[in-house]
Amino acid sequence: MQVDEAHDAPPARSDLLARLVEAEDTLRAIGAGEVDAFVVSDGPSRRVFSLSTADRPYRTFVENMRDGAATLSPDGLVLYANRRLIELLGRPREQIVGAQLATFVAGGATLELAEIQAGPGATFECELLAAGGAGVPVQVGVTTLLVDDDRMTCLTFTDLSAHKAKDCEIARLGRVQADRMAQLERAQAALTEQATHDALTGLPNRALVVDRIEQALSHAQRSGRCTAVFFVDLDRFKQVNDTRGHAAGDTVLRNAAATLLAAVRPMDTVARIGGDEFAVLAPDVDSRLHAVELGARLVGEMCRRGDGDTGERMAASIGVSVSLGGRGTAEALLDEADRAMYQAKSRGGGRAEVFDVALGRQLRERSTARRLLQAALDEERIAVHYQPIVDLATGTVAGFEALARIAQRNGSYLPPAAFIPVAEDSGLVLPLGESVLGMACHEAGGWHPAPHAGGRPLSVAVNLSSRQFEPGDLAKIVRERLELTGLAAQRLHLELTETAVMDLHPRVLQQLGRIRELGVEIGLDDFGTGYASLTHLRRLPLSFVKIDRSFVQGLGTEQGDDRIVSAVVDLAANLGLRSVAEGVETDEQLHRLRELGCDQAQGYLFARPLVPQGVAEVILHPAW
Amino acid sequence: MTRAPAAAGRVRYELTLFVSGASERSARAVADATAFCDLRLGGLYRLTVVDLYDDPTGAFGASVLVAPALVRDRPLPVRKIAGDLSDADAVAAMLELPVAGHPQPAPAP
Repeated sequence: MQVDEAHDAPPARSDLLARLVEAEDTLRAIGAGEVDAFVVSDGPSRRVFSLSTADRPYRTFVENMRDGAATLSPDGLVLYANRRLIELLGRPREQIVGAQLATFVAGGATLELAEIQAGPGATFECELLAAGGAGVPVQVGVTTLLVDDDRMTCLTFTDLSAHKAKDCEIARLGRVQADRMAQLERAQAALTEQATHDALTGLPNRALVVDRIEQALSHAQRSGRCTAVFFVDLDRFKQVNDTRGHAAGDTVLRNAAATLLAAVRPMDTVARIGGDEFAVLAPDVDSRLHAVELGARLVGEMCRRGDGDTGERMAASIGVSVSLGGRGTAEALLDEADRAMYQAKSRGGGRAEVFDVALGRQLRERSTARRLLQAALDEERIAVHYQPIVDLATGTVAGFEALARIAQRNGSYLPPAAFIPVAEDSGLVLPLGESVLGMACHEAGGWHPAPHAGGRPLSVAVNLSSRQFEPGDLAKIVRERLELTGLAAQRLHLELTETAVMDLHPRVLQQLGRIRELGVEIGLDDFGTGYASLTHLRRLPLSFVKIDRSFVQGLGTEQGDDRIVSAVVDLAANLGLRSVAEGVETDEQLHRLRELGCDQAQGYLFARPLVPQGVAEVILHPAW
Repeated sequence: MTRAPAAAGRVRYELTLFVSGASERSARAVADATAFCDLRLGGLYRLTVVDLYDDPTGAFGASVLVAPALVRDRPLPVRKIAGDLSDADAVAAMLELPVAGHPQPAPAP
């Protein structure tokens, strides 16, 4: 073709020529590699086919990118894998391309293929299986490509190893933190434990059990059930602690704790609230009766279980208080149980007592009685009355028994029953006893025997309480009284109950010995009713025995009593002891006593206890 | 993509450049075509770039067979050139566009 002289535009070719030229140009361009795609008509539609070299820059980009990449056929065959993926899998390209991708994924094909088919934009985590079996955690991204009208699945693989390592580290730190928290919690629990539990036994302490009682009461208010609180006191703990030491005492306490724990129900609480005091909470009981039964069972268990070291029984006094429907407070319940325990103790221990309103009244009365006694002592209104003791052979007065009274402000007298028990419990028996002893010695100093009585001096018998031996200076007190009043020692008789000397404590024996050395006579009162044995008769420095009124009453009617009195009189005679019968009320009894050879007797048959002023008259003119 | 530096009234030439996707060659084709237009058409042109991957039917009217291809749509007649567009004279000759004061030897028929 020739260029025309028109410089702006070359002459137009004919269309036919132009098409020819263009066709040749196209062929030339193809041949020269200047073309990277073909457009092919397929009926009404066109398709574009690209040559592989066309996408080289992009292929280069994918080939070298940081993440692994692969193209999969619809069947899951790897059509292309980039350098990074090959690196991650640690295998040669030939092994990967053309193989099923599933071969290189942990967990196999199904899951992953399903994820992939979930569609473009999906991401999921899985583990690639590198050569050598190592697993590489990866996050997989899925995209689809339309390449030459075919839909291809393209996957990218992001190595999560570093992330996983970080996760592990975070998890590890998390565990360390959790450990520290657990340690703190344990320390806190230990501290709480210390604050709420007794160190020796591990039992809850007073604070904790009070809290639990409060809870039980509040619960009982809704349920209407009964709540029972038991106050448990070990009967002879003090002796154990004193005689065998604190270590032995601790063992006893631990044994007691274990016994109580074994005896209660799982819902119950056993607590140590004092030296040898335990509290038991039964938060839900059917009735008072049920509570009493529980209390009895606790006593039984405590008595049954021996003290580990010596096999001694460790008996307990148990006080029971019951609240119905959550009435009352924890402190009030504990207080009632304490007072009931006190009652059990004063009845000899080894038993359970229930607090009730009557007991409350009784205890209030006792409290009143104590105040009364204290006032009487302070105001010197202790009076002594005297009951004559008659010599059965001669019928004359041999002596008098001194009996304590309280002279009330209105002129009447209170009998011993009204104040002796409280005197014993409170320890007021010491000043009371001294007062009575002093007054009796003083009074007796003024007694002169009847002329017809044979000149034997009159004796005065004073009752002693076991508590009077506790301070240890009883012999001294007796001596002082005798010296003060000038009474001859032989004229003073001291009467002891069997329980006072029951365990033959060395301390008691020692003091009795000293008293005997003074010349004072000692006798056993209410003989036959207590724990005295023949050993007692042998080991005590006795001069006389007083036969209890219960046996005397049956004389002439009860054969058994008759035989006992007979035996005692004989025994006394054989041991060189004087026998004195108490509570003689009938002539028949008197007659029988004479028959049996009893030495002396006292009772209403002869005379009631007399005021001091009446003594002289009875000495001279006995009414019998 | 359309490039039309001239105001609407002054467009004298309309061309379409067909490329296949975002390849290196396509990028070069775009650059060359644009340069040619700026140089030889004095800014009086509108150049439309069609990506065949986006729109295969765009080639319909032009019956283009290969990419890259630069088609002169207006003024008629429709002329086209395929492949390398870097030689502006060759492009001008094939598209029968002004050579602009550069006397060229006539291309071989």
